Amino acid sequence: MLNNAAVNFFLMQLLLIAVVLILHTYIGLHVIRRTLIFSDLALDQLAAFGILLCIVINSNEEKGNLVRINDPITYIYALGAVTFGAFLLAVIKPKSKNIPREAVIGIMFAISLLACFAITDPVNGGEMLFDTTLKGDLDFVTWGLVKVTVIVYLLLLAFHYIFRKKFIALAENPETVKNTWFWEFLFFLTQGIITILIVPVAGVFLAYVFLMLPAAIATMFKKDWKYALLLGWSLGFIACTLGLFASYNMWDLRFFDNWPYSSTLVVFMGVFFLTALLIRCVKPLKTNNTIKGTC
Amino acid sequence: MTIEFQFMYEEIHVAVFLCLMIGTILGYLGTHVLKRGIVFIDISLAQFAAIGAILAGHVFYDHGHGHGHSHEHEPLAYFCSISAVILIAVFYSVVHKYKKNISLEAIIGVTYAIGFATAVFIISICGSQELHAESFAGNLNAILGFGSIAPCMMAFGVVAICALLFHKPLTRISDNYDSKRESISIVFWDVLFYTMMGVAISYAIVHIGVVMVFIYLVVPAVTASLFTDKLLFQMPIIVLAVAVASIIGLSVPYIAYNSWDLELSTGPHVGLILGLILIVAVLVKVAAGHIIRSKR
Repeated sequence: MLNNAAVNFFLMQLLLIAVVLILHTYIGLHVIRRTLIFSDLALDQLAAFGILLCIVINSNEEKGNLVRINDPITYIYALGAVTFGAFLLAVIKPKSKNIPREAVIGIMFAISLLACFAITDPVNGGEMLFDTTLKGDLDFVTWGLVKVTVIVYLLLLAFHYIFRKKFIALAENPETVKNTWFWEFLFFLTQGIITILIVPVAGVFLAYVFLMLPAAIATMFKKDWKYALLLGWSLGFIACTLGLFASYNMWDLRFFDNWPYSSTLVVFMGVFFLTALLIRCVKPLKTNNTIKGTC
Repeated sequence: MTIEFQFMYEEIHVAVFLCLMIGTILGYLGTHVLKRGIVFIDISLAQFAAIGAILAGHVFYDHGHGHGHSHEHEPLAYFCSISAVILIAVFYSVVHKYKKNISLEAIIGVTYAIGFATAVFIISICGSQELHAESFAGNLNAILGFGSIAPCMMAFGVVAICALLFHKPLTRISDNYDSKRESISIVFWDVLFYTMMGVAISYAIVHIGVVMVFIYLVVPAVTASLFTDKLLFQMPIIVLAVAVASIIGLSVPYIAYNSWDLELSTGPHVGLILGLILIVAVLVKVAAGHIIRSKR
């Protein structure tokens, strides 16, 4: 039987996952339809770079002044890093057909990952900091963080709803959009902001999976944005809930002993994804649900 | 100076040779990867190779050696890595033939994340290893003479021979990667290509880490593609970029040690120098474009 503290903890987790998944699934649908698959990973890594840079610059071991990963000042550095990254992603579009845009994204990701490694390498405990930004830490979840995340996500959802025609046009008919780079910058900045809030808690990889997996499953079945969002969110939430319960061994089974939080969630979502992929390979898609240019 | 660091600089010619060999062959494979638009394939293959090695460590070695012992150089670990890579190669080749509504790059992206989480998951439930930052950036400092890189040299030799023998069919498929894929032989060539990449990656990550493999695969190929589409002219640019970055990047930790007493890892600096070379190449390309336009 769960005590009050445990119920409170699970409610907080489930609320955070539910809110996070709405915007992540929607942004993920854009990312998959425009084949900017690793843009989120690049921004996640830049956010991690901002956080680590802040800690390295502002911590002073001799004076006992240590900055933690979720201190407010780290969010400011992370915002600076992702804004810069969003600008680069919006303006750099290779003209050569032999250089896909994903190559630029990939190079940004790899360079920022190496930069994270380079700045933490000479620091005491740097490797642990580096690992934490990759895997996240559930201890950073507080009601304060949940409230801020919910408010920011709702604001961003409202922003995307108001300008949905512009953003959807970027995915479906980019030639009809004026000042494409500006709308792309706003799109990547949105991705960057949600990244900043989620990386300290979920880590780089879970943040990336939240964005990609539910959207990837939905894209394989639905062309319409509304239905795809609904399907992606529902399946993502079910998978995450099962993963959360498994990682806390809610069913008190020995099989689930020591299952780590973030990777358990990913493994559960992964099972859903592979099942969806198998269904799609066996059962052909109806013509009216086929999206041009993605196959 | 620690013994490891001292060895590194007595054997620097071995590290430079290794970087040149890995960089040149990965650079060649990178030109195919760019044409196919599957930039992140190597990170994904590397991730599954790592899963193979981790599983081998737990299943075949941990009982005898105790927890925490590194098994990545054991022959059985290589075998498991390559088996995992071949499995995922077959998976990508088959899925590419049947997938709908979703690009292969998206499937690669998702499976990579699943692979990463699975690796962390296995490590966590078995409780014997930590996720080390070193696995991302490698550790060239640990190279102790040509003997320590012999398996890697042999693997890259085999990949180079395959690349020479099968260059034409692989190029034909890479040039028309998004066209209709009716023939079963295309699946065969795809499996061969991914397996070549997988073998190269499995051996390279032991020395230079996942991210450095990615950098060597993509950055020199992109730098060369800025100037020419022809492989014959791309290869000298790739070799030059790899050589300059490897020599300068390997020298940085040595200078840092002698000047500021800092012991730094080598991998990240080679990668960052390759990034700088790409930026310089872009600037040269832009400046050349301006000059040509102004002359017209």
